[in-house]
Formats: sequence, structure tokens, C-alpha cells
Amino acid sequence: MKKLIIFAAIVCCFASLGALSTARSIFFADSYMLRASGIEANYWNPAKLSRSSPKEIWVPLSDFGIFVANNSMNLDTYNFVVSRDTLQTADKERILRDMDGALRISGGGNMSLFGFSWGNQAISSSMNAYAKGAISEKFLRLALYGNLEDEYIFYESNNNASSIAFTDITYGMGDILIPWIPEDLPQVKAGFSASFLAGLYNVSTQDYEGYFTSDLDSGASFHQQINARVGLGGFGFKSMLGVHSEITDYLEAGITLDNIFGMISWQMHNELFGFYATADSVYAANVDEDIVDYEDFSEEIDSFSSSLAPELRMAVMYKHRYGSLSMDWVQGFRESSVTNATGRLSFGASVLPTPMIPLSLGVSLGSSRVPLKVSYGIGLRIKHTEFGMALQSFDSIIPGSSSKGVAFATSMRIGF
Amino acid sequence: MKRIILFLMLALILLSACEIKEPALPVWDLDLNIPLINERYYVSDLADSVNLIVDENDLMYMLTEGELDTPEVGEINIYPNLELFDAPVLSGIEFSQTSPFMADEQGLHLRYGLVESGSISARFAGVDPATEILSLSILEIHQPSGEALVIEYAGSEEWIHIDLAGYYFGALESAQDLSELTLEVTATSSHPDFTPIAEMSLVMLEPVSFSVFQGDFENYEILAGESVASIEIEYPHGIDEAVQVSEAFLEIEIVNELGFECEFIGFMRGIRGDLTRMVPILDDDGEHFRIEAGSADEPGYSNLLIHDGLQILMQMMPETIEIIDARFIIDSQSGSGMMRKEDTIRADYTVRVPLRLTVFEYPITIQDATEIEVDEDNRDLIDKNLMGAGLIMQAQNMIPLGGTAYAYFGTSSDIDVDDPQSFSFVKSLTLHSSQTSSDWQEPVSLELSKTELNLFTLPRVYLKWSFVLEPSDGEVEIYAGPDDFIGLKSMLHAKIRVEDI
Repeated sequence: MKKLIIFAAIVCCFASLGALSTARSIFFADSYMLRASGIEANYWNPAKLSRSSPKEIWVPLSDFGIFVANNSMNLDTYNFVVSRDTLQTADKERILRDMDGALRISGGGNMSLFGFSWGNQAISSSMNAYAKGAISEKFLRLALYGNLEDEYIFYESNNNASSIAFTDITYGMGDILIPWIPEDLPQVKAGFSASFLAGLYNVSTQDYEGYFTSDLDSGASFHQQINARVGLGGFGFKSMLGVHSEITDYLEAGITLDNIFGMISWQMHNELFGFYATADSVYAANVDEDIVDYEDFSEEIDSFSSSLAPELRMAVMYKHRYGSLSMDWVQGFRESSVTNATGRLSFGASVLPTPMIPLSLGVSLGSSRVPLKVSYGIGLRIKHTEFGMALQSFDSIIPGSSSKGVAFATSMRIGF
Repeated sequence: MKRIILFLMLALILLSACEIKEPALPVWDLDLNIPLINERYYVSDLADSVNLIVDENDLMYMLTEGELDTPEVGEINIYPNLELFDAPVLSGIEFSQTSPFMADEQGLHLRYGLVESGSISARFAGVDPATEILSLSILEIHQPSGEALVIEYAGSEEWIHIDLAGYYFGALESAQDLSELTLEVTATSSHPDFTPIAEMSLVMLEPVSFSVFQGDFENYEILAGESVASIEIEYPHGIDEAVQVSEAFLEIEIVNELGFECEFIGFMRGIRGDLTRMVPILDDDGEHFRIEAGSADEPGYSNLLIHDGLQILMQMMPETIEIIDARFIIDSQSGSGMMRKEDTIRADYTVRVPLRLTVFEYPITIQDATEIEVDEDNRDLIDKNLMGAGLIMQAQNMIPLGGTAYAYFGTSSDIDVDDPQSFSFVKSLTLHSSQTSSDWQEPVSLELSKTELNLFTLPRVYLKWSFVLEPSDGEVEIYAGPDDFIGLKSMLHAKIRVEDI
């Protein structure tokens, strides 16, 4: 059982952050669309690829971000649980308090492979892995309290898992001035990027249903059916369109539409795994009979596609001599392995106490599906090179024992 | 620069404040509710076709069957007393005389018989040489062909011994007793008639055994072997006080191969432990039964039904029932008849006790405690992981018997339900009879505390059952039809300590 729990945690330790991300976005809790420049603009708003920008390169693996989070248990609760000899009712309720129907665990990672920008163009590659999983609160209540109720019904919405890993090779071009805008109005520049995606693997729950009942009249009955699809080796595509405008010297705005035609087609080896177990009206007195009807199977299936749901992002940023403030709103069109259908708002700020030390702060407001995220970052600029690191806390303003997740990122830019 | 260092230190302090403890799983208790059973236990399932049966009206019976038989009656002996010595035989004269041959007071009268063994001896002495023919015929002794026994003088004056085996005495279906033999003497010689030419002697004193006997007896007794019928029912202690059977029947089917009506004498004896009870087998008038005689073609069949006194016998809940001192008597009332040496009398008897009972509130205790072995794995589980247990039971009783069951648990088999020191704890469960309610009764709960459960950490635990029946409202009948059952639903509740997953 312990191994099962650990396995489940490992499986779920990658999850969605949104569209193709970059490590540096963690510095600002994803309020990063108008802050990305150079190579990173490939992923955030290619309209910001500017002819006037210096050339930039990504050192392999220098940009690195990883996170793990869950929706209910913070470090304080974890420490409390593992330090208890015996869990009492109040302790169990503390574990279950914030679950809201399911324990949802997510994780992910992003890593730069290479990148180069010159003028208004950039080409880059990164590796991405996301995963998320959920297990119903009812399962955990069963594990902690036993079967106190007559009926437990489990739904796929609270019991699922998915994971995907892929690399991208992205080309972007920006700084394309949109014509016919009167000169006395702020000019709008457009850009686009296109990504070739090489899928490594994709695992996802296809359907799940389950129940467990027990009472005097009908005995114990249970039913569990789960089908999961696995794809190994695939390729795909996605593209992004973005516009950007410097409304004033201090104010910028931008809009992007990401994941246009986004999909990965899994071609190399695809399989459908299924498990089915059911037992009806079981009584301990007849448990020696052949009471459980179960079957597991796996079969090769045709190639299939994992679609990357389109995602709309809008952002504004106020710039000042000593810093900047930004606000991003992102709205996925539907749920997918890399997107959430629930919109979220994030704010970012950067401060330059000295020209060499940029400090960053980001807040992404939580929603029913996404926790509050607060980021703290610090950097060091020396001539054309900048190095930074950031720490992000989930569901807690200060990273610490109240956090329900943590993200860590490092970033290095080299311009010339 | 100082501000940078200050900021970095602040970040380090924040991060270092995040202590992540080593993963360790605490223990916790959870409640498992496990449906245990949902069954109907039909009374008809108790019927074993041996000791518990169901009649055509679905009424349950307690049944005991046994057999009783006599040995083969064997040969019937008569004791002749025929002595005739030196009777003169006259030449040319055929004479006939009758001579009694049976000893007095034998208690039987022969009319016809086939000799199995026996002999008769004759001698002709002082025979004149001029004798031509000298012979003796006994008309009542004849061969199967009907030819009478003839003893002829053959030149020797020694005794002539005749083996009578295979000879018949008398005439079949004769209405007259055979008590005398008719002797016919034939003698011729060259002497004038009436000249004495020899002396004749005839002796028959040895017993004559008949393999077929026709006649009558004044008092002939045939003993039956003893027959024990066991009842494979383990009666709990006190059942005879708690339950009163209303009636009991003994049915005896007798097959009599003898051609005589007999009087049947015997006793039914019931035994349970040291307790013995015996009742005579009598008809409703208090007389001994008489059983039908067989005929030449088929045996006689008698069906005896006895109920007087049987209720008393069965009330003791015997473990064995036997017919003892059984015998069949052919007497003067039996009249004339025939028997063969291989004839027997067989009896099949059945004791039927309808489960028509009056129930009293009296404790019934199963005599022997049941030993429960608890293996080591389960002992460890109970010790470490089982914090409490209980049983929720709901019953529907369609049987007019109810009561309270008491389960006494102890560490020794010497559980005395009246001595609290002899057991560890007792649990009880009440099931009302259908006279009270035939609906589902209110669920009842049996709970075992951790202290009580710790008893099961011992390798052996003993359980003794005791019952107190619910007194019936008058007489109740136990039927075994499709609607006669006890429905039982049960849920096992256990508080489990999750210690090491």
C-alpha cells in the first residue's frame, strides 16, 4: 500500500502550468507575456521579437523550472501527519479539510535545450513534461474512516490521471507592424511562432467508473472499471499568434492566441489498457465462492491525437524607471493535458533596487481548479548576462509550511 | 550590496524555515462494516431423512427406526413314549391295533409333520421256521409318496432300526390330533391259522424332530433378539424440561412367517445417559397385541400402533430406543397351524414424535464447550489491529419457537454457565418466535470490546452455548414448508487499527 501511494505520487508529480512555458515565467507567477523578450518571446508573444533587440542565446539546460503541488495538503499538514503516532478524528479532518471532492496532485517541468534569437526572429527548443492526477476524497475517507456510509460512488472527474512529455522546436518571427493604423494611435505589432512537437509519451485516463456499496439487505457490491490510453512516440504542431503595442512610454498591452492547430499525433506504439472488476451482493459467509468477476486487458490501438486546447492570453504592463507592473489574464478554451478551462489572473512586478539586481514578484490568483501562486525571484545582471532564480509558493503568500506546492526556477540569459 | 546580502539572507531564512520531516506513516483506526450473511434457514433443511422427517402436511417429525426379529424357529420336537414288547404274532391272522405314542404334557398336539430326525426300532423274535411272511405297517408314518412305513422280517431276529428322517406323520390339514399309531401285522406260515409263530417288539422313545409341524401348542414361546435404535440427535442439557412433546407413536410392522397367531410381548426402553425409562408395548385396552398368522402362501402382516406411554418415553429425549424382552407366544388361542423350521418373525418399528410442543422458559445448555483454535497470524492481527468488533443482526422468525441464545466464552472447557468465574464473558441474542412477530425484528447489536477481543489472542478459546426458550402460547407445531424459515441478515463491524500497510 505504501508503495502504491508513493507510485501514485510519482505518477502525478508533473502537471499543467498552461501552454508551453519557460522557466523564467515562474519568476512572475505567469504574468509574463509582456516581459518575455528575445528567445522567450517565441513562447509568450512572438510579436515582441524585435529587430532592435540584441542577439541572445540559450545555454542548454540553463533555464530550468519544476513544480509540484496539490490542492489540499500543505507542508505543515504533512509534517503534522508524519509526526503523529496516531491519527485522531480531528487529524483526519485536517487532512481532508481542503480536498473539495478530490486530492489533486500536479507537477511539471520545463527545460531549455537550445535557443537563438536574432533581430525579430528566434529559434529554440525546450523539453516539457506535465502530469496531473486526482483521486476521490471518498477513497481517502474510506482509507481513513472505513466504510461508514452505505454507498460510495466514484466519478471520473475526481479519479483520473494524465501525463505528457514532449519537446518542441519553435521558430518565431515578430515586430511585424500592422498597417492601416493611424499614426496618431499607438502602433500594433504582430508576430507568430510555430512549433514542431516531438511527443515522448502520453498517458491518460479514458474513462472510469466505480462504486462500492454495503448494507444488510444487499451485501457488499463493488465495481471498478478504468481504461487508460498510452501513446509512445509522436509528432505534432502548434502555433501562436500575438500582437503587442506600446500604448505609451510606460504602458504596454498584448494579446496572444496559443495552441492554434495544437496537437500531437501518437504514432509509434499505442495501447489501450483496461481493468474491470465487479462483485455483487457479497457476504463474508460466501466469500470462498468465486465472487469477483474481473478482467484486465491491453490491446494495440490506432494512432490517436492529443489536442492542445487553444488558450487566449491578454496582458498589460506598466513600466517605470525602477520597475514594472504587469497583469495577465489567461483563458483556456477547454481542459487538456496542458491547459485549464478555468481562467486565471496573474500579476507581476519587478523592481530594480540597483541596475544589477532585479527583484521579481508574481501573484497568480487562485480559482476552483488552480491554487494561488506567489513567486519571488532575484537576479544578477552583469553586462549582457543575467542569471536569476525564483521560488514559487502554492496557496500561500510566503513559501513555507503553509504552501501546498512549490516551484523552483533558474534562468540565464546571454545577450550580445 | 548590503541590501543584496540582506535580501539573500532573508530568502535563505524563509527557505530554511521549511522543515520537511522524514516520511512516516502514523497509525489510525477505521471502521469496517462487512456484510456477513443474508440467508433464509429453512426448517426443512434440518430434515435428514433419518431422524428428522417431514410428513405430507409439512409437519416435522422426530423419527427412529429399528428392526427386531426372531431366530428361525427350528425343529419342533416331540417326545414319543411307545414301548411294545414280545407281542405274539399268530399265523394267518392280519390284525390291526392302535397304540398311543406321545408322552403326556408336551404342550403341543401334532397333526402333521415332516421328520427331520428320529427313529423307530422293531424286532421279530422266536420266529417259527415255517413262517413265510412276517411284516409290520405303521399307517400314520408314511413316505412322501404316501406309502406307509413297513418293517419286514428278513431272517434276523436282531432289532431293526428305522431312520424316520424324510417320513411324514399324519395327514396334511388333518383336523385331528395325532396321538396314536395304527399298527398292522401280516403273518403267514405253513402252520394252521392262529398258531403263534413269532413275538414282535416295537420301541419309539427318542425325540422326533419335525422340520414341518402342523398342530397346535398350548404355550410355545419364541424369543426375539434385542434391537437397539440410535437417535443421532445431540440433545442439549435441559431440553426435556424446556420442551414438552405432546404425543409420540410407535408403529410396529410385523411379518409373521409362522402359521400361528401369536401374542406379542415386549417393552420399549429409552436411554439417555444414566437415565432409563421403560414402557410396555400394549394396545389401547392395555392388552398385549396379537399378530396375524401366516399362511402357506404368504406371511401374516400385522401393523401395531402404540401411543400410550410413548410420550413419556420420548419426553426424556432418549439417545437410544430399544425393544427389550420381546417374545412371541403361540398359545391355546392361536389354534392349529403350521410352521417350518426356517420360519421367523420380523418386525420393523418406527417411533414418530411429531414436533408438536409446548415450550417452557427453562435454560438449555449444550453440554460440551466448543474449542476454537486461533492461529498465530490471527492472534497477532487481533492483538495489534483489531480494536473492537461487533455484529449487527436482524432476524425474521417464521417459526413458533423463540428464545435467547447465550454464548459463553472462556479460557477453559470447564465452563459453568452458573459460575461467572468459569468464563470470561457472555453475549446474548434474542430471537422472538413467530407468535410474537413474523416481520423483520429490530436489529440487535453485539459488541466486543478490546478487552473481550484480547481473549482471542490465546491459542485456544472455548465457547459454550446456552439457550432460554421463549415460552409458547399453548402448543406449537413445527412445520417445514416453504414458509417456515428463519431469515437472518448480519453485518460484521470491526474497528481496525491500520498500523503497517
